[in-house]
Amino acid sequence: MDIIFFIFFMAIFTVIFSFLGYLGYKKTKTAEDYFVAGRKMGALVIAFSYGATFISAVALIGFSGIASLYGHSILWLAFLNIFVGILIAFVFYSFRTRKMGLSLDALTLPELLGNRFNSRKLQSVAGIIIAIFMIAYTSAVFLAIASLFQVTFGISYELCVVIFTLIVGIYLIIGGLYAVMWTHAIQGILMLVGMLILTVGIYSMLGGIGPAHEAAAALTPGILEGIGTPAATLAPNGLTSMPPFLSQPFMMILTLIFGVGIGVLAQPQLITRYLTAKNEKALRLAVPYGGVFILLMTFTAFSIGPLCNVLMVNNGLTYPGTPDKVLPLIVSELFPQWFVGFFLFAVLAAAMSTASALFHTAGASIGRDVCEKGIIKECSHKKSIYITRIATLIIIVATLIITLNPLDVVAFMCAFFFGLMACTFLAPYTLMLYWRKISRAGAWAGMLGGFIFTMIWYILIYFKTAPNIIGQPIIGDYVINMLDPLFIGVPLSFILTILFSLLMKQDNEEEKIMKKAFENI
Amino acid sequence: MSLILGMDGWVFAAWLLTIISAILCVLYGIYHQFIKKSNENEKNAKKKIKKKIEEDE
Repeated sequence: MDIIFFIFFMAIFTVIFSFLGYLGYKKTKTAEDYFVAGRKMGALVIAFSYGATFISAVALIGFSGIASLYGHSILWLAFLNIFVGILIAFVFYSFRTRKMGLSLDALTLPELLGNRFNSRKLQSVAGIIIAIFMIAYTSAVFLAIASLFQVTFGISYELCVVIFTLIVGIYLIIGGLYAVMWTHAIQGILMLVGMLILTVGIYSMLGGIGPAHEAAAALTPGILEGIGTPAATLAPNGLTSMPPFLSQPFMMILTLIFGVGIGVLAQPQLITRYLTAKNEKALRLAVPYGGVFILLMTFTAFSIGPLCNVLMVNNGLTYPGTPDKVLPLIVSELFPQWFVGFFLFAVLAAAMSTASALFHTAGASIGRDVCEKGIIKECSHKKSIYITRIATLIIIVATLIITLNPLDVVAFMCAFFFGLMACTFLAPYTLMLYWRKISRAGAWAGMLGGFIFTMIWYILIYFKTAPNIIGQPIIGDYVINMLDPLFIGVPLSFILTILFSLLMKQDNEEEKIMKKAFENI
Repeated sequence: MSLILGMDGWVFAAWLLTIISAILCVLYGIYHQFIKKSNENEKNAKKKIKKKIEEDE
């Protein structure tokens, strides 16, 4: 691919995003502006920002590659992405989160927890957990996209990482959440157009939905082995059928579907989007936009993944070695050159949108939740923004260093992310919104219990992480060691939260805050 | 095993449910943008009429 094309597109990205960063800077006067875009965002921007934060380059490239191996059964994840990630999330979580955030004057998830339970320590600990794991997650996002650009344009990996981090860092630090959400709208449109062209292109190459799926179903293990893909063993019943119940591929699909599908409810970077809404109507109207956006992202990516095998067979291509390279191979071999470049920049937009949201949330966690509220206690709006800008810069530099020197532990921490956030925050967050009797002790027990259990599960038992940390999982049975910690960690966290709330009830101060929190609900 | 649109029953269910969920999202938006609003308007109008009648009496 032409290097001039790369420079041209990067220049356009830089100019537009820096301009939006400048506009955000002009609009940012208070801490509320910097952290939650002044609580002035409309439905369309919220929906695009939520979708662009949710769907990263990993979801587009990585999951479509996984779909090429495990087949269409991964479509259950697309269903959960819309049903849980949009419908349940917005209808049951967004309104209450926004109202409680307003009543308690909270700008981040840890601050919401801290103010609701009258505990700065709780806020700081939540902030530290979020920041540490978000650095690893962001690093993994940059690692994937920089590797892709290195292969396509022949530019050094290090230069790609520095350029991408710099662009995101500039508009984020200058413009705060205003800039992040406006750039998300543009990045979301790029992602939509890219995925639409790709999906329509692949289905039309194969003669439409029915014939394309039938062609995928007709691929026998022998044919799949012929192109060198492990799909022959990973999709034993064929690419358009569910694998046998409780088989290893079935457990893999199950863990992926629920880990990501349910984990979405407790992602701090997504919860921040609820707090930005100008009114309840904006959140209600974000549902249809968000639903359609996720449909056009994940449903298309997961649908075309298995069809890549048919295209490889039909065009004499062979499996490129790793699932991440399947979709780029199909695009580069079978699509016109202009689209190859466009698609790469759509994937870059997906990576940048997720990275900017993660940087912002991690920066706010350290700046606002740990430094300002945990250490300094009280300060002016200007100082608050200043502290968070410095914290965000430190997070960005730390991410840059880690991405330039990738460690195995980063990949594991990234794999931990969705499950860990769900096991740590889902129970206290949900009960805080719906149960008036939840106490500070309950929130601590649920949060720390879920966190510690998940870490132990990932280190000692989980099949993906334990072998690389301790050599061999302590439980050999694959039905158990392939189970996502979420299946046990989330119920455990709920039980601990309820149990400790009943045993150690709210004090008078907590009761007062509880009444204030439910004032507008 | 018979296939629907080239997919087995479970995969087809996921495929269909994904589309239905997206349609539900759209219907939710339409309901809150147009139908619920007109319901509220209707209620408000009825309240106004009732009030007027009470005042006339």
